[in-house]
Amino acid sequence: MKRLFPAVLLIGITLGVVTAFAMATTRSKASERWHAFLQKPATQPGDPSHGEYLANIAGCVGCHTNYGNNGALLAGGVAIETPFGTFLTPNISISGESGIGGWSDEQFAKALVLGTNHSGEHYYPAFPYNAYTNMSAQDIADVFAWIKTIAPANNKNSPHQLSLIARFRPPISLWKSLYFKPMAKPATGNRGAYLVSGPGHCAECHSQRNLLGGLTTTKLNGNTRGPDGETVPGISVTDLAQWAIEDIDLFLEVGITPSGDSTGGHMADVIEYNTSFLTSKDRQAIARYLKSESNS
Amino acid sequence: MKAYLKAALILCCAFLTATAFSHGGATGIVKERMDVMDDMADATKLVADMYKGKTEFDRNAIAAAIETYLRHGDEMRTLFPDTEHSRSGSSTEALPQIWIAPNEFSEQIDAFVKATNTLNAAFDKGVSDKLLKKQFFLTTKTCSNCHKQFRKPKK
Repeated sequence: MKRLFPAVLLIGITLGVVTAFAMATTRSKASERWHAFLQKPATQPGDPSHGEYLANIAGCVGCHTNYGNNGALLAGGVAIETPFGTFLTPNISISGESGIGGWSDEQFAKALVLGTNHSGEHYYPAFPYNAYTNMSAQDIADVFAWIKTIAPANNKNSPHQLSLIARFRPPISLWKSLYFKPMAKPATGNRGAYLVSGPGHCAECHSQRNLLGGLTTTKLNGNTRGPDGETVPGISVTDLAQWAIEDIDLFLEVGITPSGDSTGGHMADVIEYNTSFLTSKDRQAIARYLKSESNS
Repeated sequence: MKAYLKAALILCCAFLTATAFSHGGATGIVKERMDVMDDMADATKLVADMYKGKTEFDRNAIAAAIETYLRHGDEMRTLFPDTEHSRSGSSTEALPQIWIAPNEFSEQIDAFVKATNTLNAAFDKGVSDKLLKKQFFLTTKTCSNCHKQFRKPKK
């Protein structure tokens, strides 16, 4: 036992140093990210009507409303199965008791841009801040303005049902230092690119993940570790070679593939709760982007 | 003459092989239901192409799709018997959930049949193109709902 002690001590010290280094790196990167975000602040007060549109297409409503059990709007409780266990989405209504009622605009923006809660704790990456970090300050302000118009629901948050290792939050810092992608360059004038990389969070399912759940690429080449263990097809320009722009447009609206098949799997939910809310103009913008060389 | 016979024989073999290996070699009841699904997808495609603007809008195509859906709706109840081949026959895309929760599966077929009947009534009533489109895709949504629960995800 005595012989093992130095080895255990060494491993412990190494892990401690690595975690401390990761925490410092993540803090420094978060500071840079926040600084970049503040360069283009919202110029108008939040618009609830536009916020409602964004909250639907970005999946806030679909992920935080338990439609299956007639749950209240934004009251959370939706189960997301992952290899690390089951995440139960939290209440994001403005309930001061169990939602985000006491949050400031800045705290709300930091949740989406930095992936941290109002106390500065890291969110698990099941919350797609890797994509929301690309959303504009105005859009984030609009979403929060809409959430504030929704009646508070006092449903208590249920704890995630995670494996023993995943229950420990500090390593998320290490995860973030490795896999929290830098903000995408602003896609000026390219609405489709913005929707795909930001609110649409397409890469979350359509880009390959590794065993730690980190995205190994920004390309939309498909993912063998998709939600609920699904293999998710690629949607790069090459993958969509047989799809015309109007095929993608109708698919995002009603889920019919070019061959006339009605989509199933996880994408059926994405269509129902997210993309079917897109305006025709935004669906076409996404389709044009997906069919462009920028999506190769 | 021998050359013609040889060519005919090769063509026959090619046809039989292609038939046998369509749907990745599905046979029996598995192939039967896959053919039914294909039939409905083909009818859906014709209508979808109209709404995409790829082809001229023609209410007859919708009538044809309704006729196909009506023909196959109740037939689907017979296409998923609880047999070894039906459950795990080559190339089947059916999930075991069909036989684990047969009532839920049956409810999905009910929903499809009901939506098709509503679509049929709307068509007969001569509703606007906009309403007809809405009802058409409410019908195909019942297909998605069923696929979500009871079909293996496509890769």
